[in-house]
Amino acid sequence: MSRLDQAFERAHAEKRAALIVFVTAGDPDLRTTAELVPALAEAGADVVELGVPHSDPIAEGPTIQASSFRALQQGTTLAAILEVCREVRAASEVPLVLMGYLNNVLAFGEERLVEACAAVGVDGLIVADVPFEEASALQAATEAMGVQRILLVAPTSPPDRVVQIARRSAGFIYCISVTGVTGARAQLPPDLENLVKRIKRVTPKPVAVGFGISTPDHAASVARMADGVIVGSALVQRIGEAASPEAAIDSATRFVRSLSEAIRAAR
Amino acid sequence: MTPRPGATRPSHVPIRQNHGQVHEAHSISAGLDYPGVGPEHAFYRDSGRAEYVPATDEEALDAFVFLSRVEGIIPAFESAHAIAALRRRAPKLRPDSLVVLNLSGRGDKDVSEARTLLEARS
Repeated sequence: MSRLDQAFERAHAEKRAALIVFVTAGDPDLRTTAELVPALAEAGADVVELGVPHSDPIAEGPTIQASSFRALQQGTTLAAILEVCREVRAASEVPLVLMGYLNNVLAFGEERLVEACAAVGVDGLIVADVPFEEASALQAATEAMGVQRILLVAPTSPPDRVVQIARRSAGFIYCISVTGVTGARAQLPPDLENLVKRIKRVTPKPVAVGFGISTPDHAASVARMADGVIVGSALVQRIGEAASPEAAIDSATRFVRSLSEAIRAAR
Repeated sequence: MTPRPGATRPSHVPIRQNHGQVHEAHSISAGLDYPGVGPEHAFYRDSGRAEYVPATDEEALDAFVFLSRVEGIIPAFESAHAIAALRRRAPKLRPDSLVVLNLSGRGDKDVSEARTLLEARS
C-alpha cells in the first residue's frame, strides 16, 4: 500500500480527517524546505504537498504567487526540489506530493519526472493546469511507475466529468472548494458540503478539500464532511511573514499543530 | 530567446522559457507583448506557408512616423512592425512587384505612447 493510501487509512482508523499541508518548495530557500517538511509531519501533517514554483501559477492567489516568486528568485528548479525530496525521504516517511504546472513538467520531461519522483520517494503528483483529456503521457507514466496522480474536481465540474475524474484520480480526489484561485478566505462556501457529497456519492476514494481553508475552525468544519483537509495559503503566509528561516519553521509548525488539534477534536 | 514547445494559458504553443518558467516578454506594442506564439502561426511557419521576421521597437517606431508622414495614416504599433519589415524588404523586390500589406490596426491608441517614446529619443 502506498504511503498516501496508508495516511488516509490511518486517519480513517482514528476516525478523523487527514491533514494535508502545502508549502512552496524553495521559499524562503530549499535548505529551509528540507528542514521544514519533516517538522510539519511531526507537528501533525499527514501529507505534505510541495509546490513547484512556476512563473505563471494560474491557480494561485496573491499569497502563493508571491511565495512562488520568492522561490524563483532563489533559483529554485524542479531538479533541486527532487533532491530535497530525496533528503526528506531519508529522514521521514511522510507522504510527499509535488504540485505544479504543466510547462515545468514538459520542460523536465513527463516520463523523466515521474521516474525521478519514484526514485526519490515522491508519492503523488498534481499538475494543476492540465485537463485529464490531455494528460495521457503523464497518466501512463504515473500508472507504470506507481506514482499517484491526484486530479482536481471544481464546483463547476459537471456530474459525468466528476465520475471520470474520480475514476482516474489516485491517492485522493482534490476537491476545490471555490470557483477561483487559492488564498485565505474569511468563510467557507455554504454549498461545500453538497459538493463533497456529490463527489463521495460516485467514488469510494478519499476526498480532500482545499482552497480557502484558513483557520483551525475552518479545518474542523471541513474535517466533519471530508476525508482530508488541505491548507496552503494560510501556512505559506506565515512562512512569508517570518523574520528568519528558524522563525518560519517555528511559526509554521505551531500553526500546523493547531490545525491538527482542531481536526482531531472535530466530531 | 527562441520559443520552444510548451504549455501556457492553457494551450500547447511555442513559449519563450527557461527551465519551464515562462520568460517575460517585452514589446512597445501591447498586442505583441506576449511570451507565446499562437497555434495557427506556429502551424503556418512549420508548414512553410509563412515566413516570420522580427522588427525592433526602434524600427517599429520609425515605421510609425514614416507612414504617418508619407500617407497621413497612423498605424497601430503592432502594424508598424509589418511596415518596418516591408521597408527592409521592398528595396530587394522587382519594381513591378505587387505588395499587400495588412494594416491591421489604427494608431490613435498609440499616439500618446509614441509621443513619450519620440520625446525620449530627442
